[in-house]
Amino acid sequence: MIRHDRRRLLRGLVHGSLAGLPLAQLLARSAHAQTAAASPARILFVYIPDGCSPEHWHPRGSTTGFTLPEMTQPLAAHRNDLVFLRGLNMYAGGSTHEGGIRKVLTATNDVSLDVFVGQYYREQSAHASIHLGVASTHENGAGYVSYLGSEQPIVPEDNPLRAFERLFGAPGSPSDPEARRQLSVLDAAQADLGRLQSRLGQTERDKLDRHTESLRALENRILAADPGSGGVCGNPDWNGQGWSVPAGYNSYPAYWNRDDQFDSVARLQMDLAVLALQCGLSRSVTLQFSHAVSPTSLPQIGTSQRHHDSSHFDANSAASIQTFVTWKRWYCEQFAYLLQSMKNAPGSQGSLLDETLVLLCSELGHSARHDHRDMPFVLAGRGGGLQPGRFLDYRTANGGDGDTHAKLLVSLGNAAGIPIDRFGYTGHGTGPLSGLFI
Amino acid sequence: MSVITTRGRGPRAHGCRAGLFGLVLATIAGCSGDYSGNGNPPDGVPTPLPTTSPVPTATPTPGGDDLGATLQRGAQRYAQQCASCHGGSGQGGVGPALTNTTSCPSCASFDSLWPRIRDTMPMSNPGACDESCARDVATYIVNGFSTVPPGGTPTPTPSSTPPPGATPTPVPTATPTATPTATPPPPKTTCSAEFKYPSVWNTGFVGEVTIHNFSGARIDGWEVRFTFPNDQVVTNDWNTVLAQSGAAVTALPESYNAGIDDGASVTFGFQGTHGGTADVPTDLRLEAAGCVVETPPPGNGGGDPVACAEQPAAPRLLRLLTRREYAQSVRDLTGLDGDFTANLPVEALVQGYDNNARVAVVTERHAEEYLEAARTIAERAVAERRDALLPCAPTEADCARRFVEQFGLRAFRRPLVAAERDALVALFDDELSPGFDEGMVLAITAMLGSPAFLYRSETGADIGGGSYRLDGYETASSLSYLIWGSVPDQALLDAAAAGRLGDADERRQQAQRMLADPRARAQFADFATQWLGTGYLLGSFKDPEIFPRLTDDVRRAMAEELSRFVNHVAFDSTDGTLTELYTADYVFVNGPLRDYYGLPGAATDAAFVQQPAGTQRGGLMGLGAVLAAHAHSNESSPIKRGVFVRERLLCQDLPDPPPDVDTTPPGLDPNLTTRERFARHTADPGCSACHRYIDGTGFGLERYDGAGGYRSTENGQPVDDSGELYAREGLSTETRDPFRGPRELAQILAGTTAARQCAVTQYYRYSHGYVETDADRCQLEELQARFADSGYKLEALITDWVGSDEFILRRGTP
Repeated sequence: MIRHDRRRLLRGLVHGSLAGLPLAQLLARSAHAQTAAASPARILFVYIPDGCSPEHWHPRGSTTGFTLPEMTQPLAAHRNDLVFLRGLNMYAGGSTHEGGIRKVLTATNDVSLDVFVGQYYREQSAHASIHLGVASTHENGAGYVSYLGSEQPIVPEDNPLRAFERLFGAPGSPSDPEARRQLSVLDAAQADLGRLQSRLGQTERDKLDRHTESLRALENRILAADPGSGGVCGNPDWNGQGWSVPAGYNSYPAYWNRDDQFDSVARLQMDLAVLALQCGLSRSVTLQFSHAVSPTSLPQIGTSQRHHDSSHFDANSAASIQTFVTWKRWYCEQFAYLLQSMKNAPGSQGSLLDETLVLLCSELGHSARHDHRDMPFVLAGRGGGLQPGRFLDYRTANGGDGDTHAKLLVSLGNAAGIPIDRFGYTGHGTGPLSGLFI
Repeated sequence: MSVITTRGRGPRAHGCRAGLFGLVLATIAGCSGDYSGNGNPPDGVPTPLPTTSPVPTATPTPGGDDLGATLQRGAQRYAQQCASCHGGSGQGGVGPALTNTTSCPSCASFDSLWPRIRDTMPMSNPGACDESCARDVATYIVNGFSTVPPGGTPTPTPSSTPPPGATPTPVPTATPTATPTATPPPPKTTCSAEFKYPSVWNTGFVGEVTIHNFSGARIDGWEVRFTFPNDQVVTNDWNTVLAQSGAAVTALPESYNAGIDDGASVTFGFQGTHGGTADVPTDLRLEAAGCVVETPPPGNGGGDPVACAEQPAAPRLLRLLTRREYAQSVRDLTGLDGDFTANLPVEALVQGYDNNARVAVVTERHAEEYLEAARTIAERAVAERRDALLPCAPTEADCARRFVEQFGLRAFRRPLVAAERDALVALFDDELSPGFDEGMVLAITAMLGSPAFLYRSETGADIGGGSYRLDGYETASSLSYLIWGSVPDQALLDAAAAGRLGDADERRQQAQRMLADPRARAQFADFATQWLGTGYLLGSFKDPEIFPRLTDDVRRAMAEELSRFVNHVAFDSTDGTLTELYTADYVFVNGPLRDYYGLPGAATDAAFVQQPAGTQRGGLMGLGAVLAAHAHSNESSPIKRGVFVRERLLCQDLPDPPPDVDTTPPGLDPNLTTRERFARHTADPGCSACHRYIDGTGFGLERYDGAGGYRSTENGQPVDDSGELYAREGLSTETRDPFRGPRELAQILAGTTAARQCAVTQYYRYSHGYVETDADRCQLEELQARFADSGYKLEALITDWVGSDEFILRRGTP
């Protein structure tokens, strides 16, 4: 536990050796951290497992005159907040589930876009990027969506209570004796890292650099703590139902990874992601539902099949497809809940959704074929000037092959205020996705 | 990171794909299109084909060996990893044919082929075939799948004549500290500065310079100069007073960061624009009174010959403690019970192992959780164990120093350097620690939060020739974490201090001593659990409606059975061989497990006893843990079990299903057995190309349900458990071994060279914390040969390994 009294409004005294840090660059944790609506978009990346059936997922119709088929139908109420993307493919890299989850946010770049955006703004946010999971570590042999470096995944936090503690647990003033003791421990660790680096030279330099950055980020957060902020970010209204791990629980698997807790944990993690964005804790939040080859079972939604099993539907059997449709509808309902929460959350002018971009993604296109074509990407929000309420079909691009999802990642980076023209794969050209931001 | 330092590496020294933002930087900086050196072509961008045939004479492979050896290696690798999909001679199969450029455009030339192999093959695990591997395979393919060099004579096969250089040459242990060259040592570095671009985009960049002071004293004032190689213009800066004149930049400190304490560092940064290219300056210079800046390192000429190859295989690594290692280290250091790792991030598994050093990086969440865990542990340690941990009374003068030195020696697994000790002692004097106990809490927190505790170092000291040797303390840690999963004890630290651990016999004797400790049994069970992938059994969901008998008690008993069984074979049995591990005719069961297995005896007794296995159990394959872990939550899985045998027991990795092939498995059918539903795999040639290596094995285990229980019928029909192990020694072989049930399968496996070699490979992965590459092949072959010499004794596998030179040698970064 970090033991602090966050009620005290003190930020004057700073631990001696750290006096040089540019405090002005460190944004306080408060709703006031939100700046003007014209500012770059914050991005929420939402991963759901195991692809889709493209025919049951993608809209039918024209750019603005479209209808939603069975899988995405639960998003109809939010269609004017959404851009449906069709005809995007993931090229190169590995195949099937494992290859797909590695590249959905990297496009074969070493670093994933969520981490890239977070790092870019790391001096301006309490957390560079935030990574939440819903049973994402449970029986996971297939990997994760976020990467710090080549093949170095960031494993999401699956325990919502612990995630909340980390994000909103009371930090004190940097002048508190407790904070100063923490800073002295961080100082010692940084000095030890420096000695290690000097001894090793280039050997393991990346590893030590990342460690150093992590300590620095932690230190900055302690220094920038603003115990005075009250309101929604000082006393977040979260977990109103009082979800908790039963005392003495000692069975398998971890309580928050149990199937019968999946929907409760999903709700809590979505609420937490919204709060984190609302309070400006980071420019980049990632929420990973389960993982590729998802073993989740939710009998209460009306199917006894596990998610991955259902994704291998039999194209000739309506009953078989229906099971997978039921699953995808459940995920779209979760996404609709998330969007509604973001609409309800006030932004600096309109709603939080107005200044945010939300990307819904998966690691496969057609689930039963294990391909990376016609991927189920959906964008939401108005961040970066996105004009939602559209259906964009890229299937005719590149002579009918479709377009690369790497361009979508470039567009998202641009919307976040980072003027990149490529991200990872460039085999189908560079630049943003044409027609997305107009 | 794209980084240079004053050590003089050039701007391109790290290639185009070199780290955090390397790709963005590299492509902008003009790396795309330049694939000639270390560059990495973006996939899908056509590589200009040379007009003349470049192969194979124009394609020297790293190491510069002759073409015959390259072809030999390429053929071997092709057979292992490629042939199952592309056919033994590239004629195609589930994958495209490699014999024409219509189905394989990259095959047009060596230059287009090898990067494609490196970047995308094998499809299941792109990257597994590194550059040297890809070059070998590509050479073999463009040579027309022949090992005969054009115009040359056939090279001998490796089985009959090992290639030159493969013969192990023992390192003379009597020359542990020989300095390899006569070159005078470079001046000792006491300061360094490094430049990096945390981000670069098409018109702009953020740059950062970090200055480290290791001079032993505080420095006051510094100056950094460099020249932008392109047309970068700084528009904004922080933590520095920066002046740019043309391309030349001079950076001076702000008032608050002019002084840098010994061991500390200062970072300043700047933002700017560029015209399309932003290379890293090559002339970065640091000036500070009292600092010596390192000159470029001397070349790696000369040096001791080392075993197997010119260089050891294993890279120099810092290995982050796993949660398990952390927990056990804390327990052994403090004597506290309790789990302090519940909030630490879960490890990402690589090849089933949780200790892969490459992927284990300290994220911000790690940093925070480490700090908090350290704090919690420290408070409890002082509250409950203070006197036991103190070598003196708190009132004695110097007690803080004595405690820090003693606890630090064990936590850091080496004596503290003066700067570390002084910094820790200072925490007692801090006004933040009003009493001795508070100081002790803070000092323990700092030690457990230190990288010196969190990483175990396997980096070694330079012995020349690009080789490094672990020092005594590093060796002590490698031994203790391999055999105990925890910190070294006093005897190991003493042996390290006396310089005895460089001696192979001493290491073997230490290992023998350590294996008698109960921790060694828990650790060997941990290896077996990760090797056999049975960790999932305890963490996974099994449908209680389908498997009501698989209670938590039974699950725990299965895990315990595995632990007792593997330890019995390895350390208690007179035979003690891998063969016994496969073919044992006894089990270790308690009441609930005995009942679950249907074995005679009391059904409630909690104590585990050894008893005859009967016909349905016994050996590795009969373990409930193995059978239940490699199955679905609601049914058995011939596929998972077949893959398990192929990949975990035989080390024959299979490709994933190719894209665009409909991999829809047969739906559940209440009238069919699982086996009948999967029959299509063998009927459809698109599936059978790979599934013939898998399904037949799994079918032979079909009398065991998804929870490891025995059944003779499924859906009212008798279960056909006739199985067949196809191609037991490798995917390019065509043997067929029919069997029924786990005992017969184990009997076949136990006699294979593949399974014997694989056991060594798996232990090697576990021990080193990384996945072997081509560089490890010679070393692995030697260990496998020694394992054979021992008669496949499991204990010898451990002691021979720690007694090998390679255990303490590491390879320098090229």
